[in-house]
Amino acid sequence: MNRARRMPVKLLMQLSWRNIWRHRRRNAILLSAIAIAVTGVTLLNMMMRGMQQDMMNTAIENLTGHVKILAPGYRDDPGIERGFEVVEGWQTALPGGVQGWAKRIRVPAVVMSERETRGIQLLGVDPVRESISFLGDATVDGERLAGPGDSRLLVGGLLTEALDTAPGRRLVLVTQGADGRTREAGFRIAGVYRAEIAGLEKAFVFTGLEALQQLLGTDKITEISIRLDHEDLEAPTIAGLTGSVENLDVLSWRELEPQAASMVEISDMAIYILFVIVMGALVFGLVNTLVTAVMERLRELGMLRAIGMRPRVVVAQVVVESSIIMAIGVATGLMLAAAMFAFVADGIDLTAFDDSLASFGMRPTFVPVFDIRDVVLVVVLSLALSVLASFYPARRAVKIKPLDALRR
Amino acid sequence: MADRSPRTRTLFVRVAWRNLWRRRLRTWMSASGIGFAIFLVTVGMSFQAGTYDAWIETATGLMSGHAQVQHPAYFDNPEVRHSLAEGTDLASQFEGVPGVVAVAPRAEAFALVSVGERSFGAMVIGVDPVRDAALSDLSTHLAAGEYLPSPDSAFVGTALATNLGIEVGDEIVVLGSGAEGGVAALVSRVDGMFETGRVEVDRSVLQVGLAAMQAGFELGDAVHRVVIKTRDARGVTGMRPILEAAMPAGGRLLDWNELLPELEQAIQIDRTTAAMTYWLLLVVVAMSVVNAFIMTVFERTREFGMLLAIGMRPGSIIGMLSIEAVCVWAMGTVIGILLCLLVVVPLGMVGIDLAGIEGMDAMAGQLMMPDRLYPALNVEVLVESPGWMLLGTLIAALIPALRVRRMQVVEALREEE
Repeated sequence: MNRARRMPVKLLMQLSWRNIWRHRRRNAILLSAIAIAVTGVTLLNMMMRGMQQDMMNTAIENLTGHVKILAPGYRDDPGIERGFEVVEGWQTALPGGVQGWAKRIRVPAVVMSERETRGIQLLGVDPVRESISFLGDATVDGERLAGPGDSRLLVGGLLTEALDTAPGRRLVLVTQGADGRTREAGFRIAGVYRAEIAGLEKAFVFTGLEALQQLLGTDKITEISIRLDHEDLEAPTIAGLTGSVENLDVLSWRELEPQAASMVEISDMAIYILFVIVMGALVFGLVNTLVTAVMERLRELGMLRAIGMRPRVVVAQVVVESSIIMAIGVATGLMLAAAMFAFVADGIDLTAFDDSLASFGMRPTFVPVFDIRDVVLVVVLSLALSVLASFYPARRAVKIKPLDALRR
Repeated sequence: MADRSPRTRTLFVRVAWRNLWRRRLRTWMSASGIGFAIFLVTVGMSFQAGTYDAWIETATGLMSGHAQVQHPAYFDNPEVRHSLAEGTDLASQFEGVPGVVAVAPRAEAFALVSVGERSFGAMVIGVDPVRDAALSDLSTHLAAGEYLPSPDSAFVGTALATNLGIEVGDEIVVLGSGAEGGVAALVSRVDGMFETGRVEVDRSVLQVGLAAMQAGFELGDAVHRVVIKTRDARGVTGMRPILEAAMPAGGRLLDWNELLPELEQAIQIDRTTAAMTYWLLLVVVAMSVVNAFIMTVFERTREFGMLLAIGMRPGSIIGMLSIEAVCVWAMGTVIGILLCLLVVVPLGMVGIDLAGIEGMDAMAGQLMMPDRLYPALNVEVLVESPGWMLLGTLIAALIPALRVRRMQVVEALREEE
């Protein structure tokens, strides 16, 4: 009894396999349809993931970091009055996996050359620590800042052009001191930096942290930015810090860069919609082929039923056939996608779309990203679809009455 | 092919139509596949069109307008001295141009805004309140007070007001450099505040009366931008010749494509990604139709053999299969477009409440999206995807149908049914 109940898996596979080979042409077309769908979906997906990754990295490197410590109220009213003193040993609350952190002062300021006036963000930094932000990768004409005590300026390329100035020349900065009074001081330009996102060059001017503290008359800072090895470490880091740095806000980049964060979420959604739509389009072809395959084998299936094959084995036959076609199609598609991915893995030059990419927070060359979770999703989704598509054909197969079928 | 009377033609269509119903399920599946693709593409394109309109409307509506006239050097190098003389007259010249809805002159400069000991840098824009309100949304983002009620009023972003620590009624001092190189100074009273949700605007923009701005910055009657709003943002490129005719020598006309290059490119990127998805969808569906026709031709080998044997030409059989394909396509198109209309027409009337979707409210302000999105249906959308699908279906039918030409009558007749 036990033996008879067991599904004859090997037989099923053999039957389905041979049936597929009986109609090479049409199954080849169906397979190519699946393969094209899978290749296309996977490539589009890798592109979208690449863009998403890029937006995220840019948001994080844009002096944000994965996690930032700020004084409450700083975000609404950024200024040195919303500064804080660092408690000794605050780093002990950091869990593992921290790539680096940087203490900074960041205050709004007005910068004036002999000709022009512009509004900027003035940052006091420890240059060594800025390997975690875009400043670490930026190219510099002239000199970099020597250390936190360096009272010269590092100015962005676009701002230098707008102010009509150059390294070695002087700029006047006006900002708010810790006592609320306006400070005005002359600075010499050490160097001019070029950022991958050109817009940043207009926004940020850097000087030494200690030099800026001296100008503002304070020993406070306004932020600590923390860069992690991996995004998943964000939650434990925030949890660890929240308890230990009292009276300060510990914020994720998602809160600090809501625009980038919602773009990332939207592209997640777009990827899933893409999967469902394109793979869904395969159902029509699959059902068509399976129903025909069942109808052609009416006699054969009727005979098998007559000699004692159970209905559920008949159903299994259809499901297995559908799954085999789908599995081969998906495997071919994935291999094609992998081969094409190898071509573009080094990055695609998108300089033509430069302005707009920057406004989305993306770089002019972007690298497609391969995420194994998406591949798993495509595989699971396609197998689920193949089972779904075999539902109606299988029901037709079960309805076959052995006698009617044999009489045909 | 000699006998192609109208009677024979209708006969062909009738036979083709009946043939389709010999495999009811297959026909329905093929038609639904085509319908599915057409539905998704048309709905998707309608949403895109609606989204782009909304992007353009919100992005141009806040400040830039649909087109601007500037000093030729101002766009690349916005210095105070790069101004247009007799700006107010210039603005009136454009008011009579057909298709122009509103015109507003603006003078602007980057300056230091101070209150007591506190000062912040801001873009100070001198506007004619009546003309600017007809053109820009900024006055509708009123958070407190009034929009420039008197010539010495100031309208300030809420974030800038917080930074300066000021409230409605407070006096501010604007300091900058004038067009002639002297120190420009301006005293204004904050009579109103705006909050657009775009941080960079709320934190760095200050509007004052145009006359006060011109007097304070030694501009005379000069302005930096004459901002033009037209009836239709997309039609502005076509209006260029008319606008240029009304422009004085020495001006430069820029439309929103040039003023906001990132907007045009964002639309291009979004359109490209969507187009790739649509093509993928159309190709996948077309391949299922190929498959359906392969099975059809295979099953009917005997029948075709007989038709050939009694003297029908292969071309006529291929013609009949093509008619079958067109019928399947027509069914699919009707299904797809009906579903599309069912979705898009009601939504186009009431709009989709974006503010209600979680996470969207934050985006609405940041990503220049309005609270409601209205998908827009146009003829182009309804014709394009069915058109391509028709081509796809015909090719799909012809690939297997061409087998008929190679068919050997005797062998075909021997084929078991």
